Amino acid sequence: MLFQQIINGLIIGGIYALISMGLALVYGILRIIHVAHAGVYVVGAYVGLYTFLLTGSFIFAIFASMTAGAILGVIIQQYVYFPLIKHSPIISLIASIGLFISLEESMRLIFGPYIKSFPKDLFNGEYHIGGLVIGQSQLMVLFTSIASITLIWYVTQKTRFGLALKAVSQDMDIAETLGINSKKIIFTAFAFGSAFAGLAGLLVGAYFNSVFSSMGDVPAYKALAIIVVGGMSNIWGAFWASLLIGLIETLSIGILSIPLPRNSLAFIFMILILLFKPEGIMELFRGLRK
Amino acid sequence: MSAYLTTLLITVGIYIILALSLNIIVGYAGQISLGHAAFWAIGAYSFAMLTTKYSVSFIEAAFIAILITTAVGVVLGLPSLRVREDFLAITTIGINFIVQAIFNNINYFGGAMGIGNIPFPLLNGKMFSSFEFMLLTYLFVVVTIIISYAFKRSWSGLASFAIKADELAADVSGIDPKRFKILAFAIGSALAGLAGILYASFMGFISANDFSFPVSVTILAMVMVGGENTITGPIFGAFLLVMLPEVFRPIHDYRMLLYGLLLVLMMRFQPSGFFGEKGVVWKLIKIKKS
Repeated sequence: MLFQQIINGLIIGGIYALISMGLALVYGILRIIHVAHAGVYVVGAYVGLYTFLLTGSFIFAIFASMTAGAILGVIIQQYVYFPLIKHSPIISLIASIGLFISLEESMRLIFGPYIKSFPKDLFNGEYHIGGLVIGQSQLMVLFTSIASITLIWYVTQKTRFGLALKAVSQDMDIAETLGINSKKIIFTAFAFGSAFAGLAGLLVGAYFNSVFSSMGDVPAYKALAIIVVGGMSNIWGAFWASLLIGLIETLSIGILSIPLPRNSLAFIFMILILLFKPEGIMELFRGLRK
Repeated sequence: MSAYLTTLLITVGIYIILALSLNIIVGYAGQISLGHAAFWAIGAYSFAMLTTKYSVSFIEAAFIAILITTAVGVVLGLPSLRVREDFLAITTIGINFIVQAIFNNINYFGGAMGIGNIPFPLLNGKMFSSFEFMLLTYLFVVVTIIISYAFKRSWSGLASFAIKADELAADVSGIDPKRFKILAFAIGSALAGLAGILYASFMGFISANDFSFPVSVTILAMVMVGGENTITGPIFGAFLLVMLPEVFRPIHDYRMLLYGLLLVLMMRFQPSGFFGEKGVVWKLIKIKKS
């Protein structure tokens, strides 16, 4: 039972990681609280669903939702965030919230207010390993998120782009004097981060078998709490924080049955972190290791 | 005066008080707060609890409710001393979610059923008519305007501007940032508590969902769209954002989309708002003069 809950928690955590790692990436380079990231997530879910219904191939749907996410992210960055970079952060925050509302609403107006779903027999197999039951949809989410996170790890840690990204997020001006085209890096980073937000939308849509326009409401703000726990611009902090919060949520509901709604747990955890370790969870780990 | 118009004007009045009170925190002291509805909720709930459960008289309950809201405002303003800008924005989002979750889930506060039968004010043993209630609301609007104006012109206002412009420089010049940030939070939340009392008394019934996070966004949008750091701006913003849904009633399906687009376009092309520095209104007036 406990083991089952841990696996469920890790799956939820993996989905959170796909959203919040992109968010941490964006925050790292532009210092913008990108609430509209969850708007990209909703659009990704719809594009993925309709691609699947048209072509019948889930692989195709994955590519479509990632492409749609990337294009949308780049448009947002080019036409909204980049011109606002010199203003105070509150301006871009409100613009971002406005964008998020507009994206969700346009999805509702285009596709209708009803919950859409994937065909029932898409992922309904189950595997029994010992006493453990793992659904096919869980396996699909687990596999896709492990693959994506490995890809993110490779790109940010092992390529020249990842190195340039680190330089730009530390100091944009100095990075430019060293011959890095920071505009290009920001452009690519947005495309990269947003692609995974689109993918996360599709995965959540397929996992819970429902796609609806307000599905982004909860992730929009929970992802913010997660990146605070992870240390704001730290991508790997966001990863560990996602897994931790996924686990805490599942275990506290499944085993401890805490009366507060699960969606406020992330914020309570965030406030505890801010009180005791405002630098984020990675510093906490480092402190423990010493 | 028709009941519809009186209700609408009272709503506008309550939102003017809310927008001006948030303006003291955001516009004057420069502390991002995305949880203003939480203070509004605390004012409304403490007033409702005192009058319905403990049968305290109207005026006494109002005083105690304002004191409670101020105290909570000071306590919840404390994070602003520790965390800056982006962290503060996310922390206040968290505060809003947690306050709403507490009111919604704890049966002592009425739980999901809310609190009903909140009394209307009495005048010589007779209940106020809605028209008289409207006059009362606007009396408090005037009081709020006077407080905002007095704060802006006072030494504390000047100190807050200095902190907003450059906290380190202000600190070096002998201004204690902590004192003035807390003062701004105290005044802002006291006025939000006042708005909460008016709201609870006028509606007669409140539930936690009246004070959800999107409401905080709307209040902040009123301040920013009108023009932060001014008094005309938030008043105009409150009027505009309460009236817009009413004007757009025939096309109400597109209301939220228009609201989202308004936020994005205002922030993108007119970040200082209608009445702020370099605001669009002042530009128009100048063109007419020349």
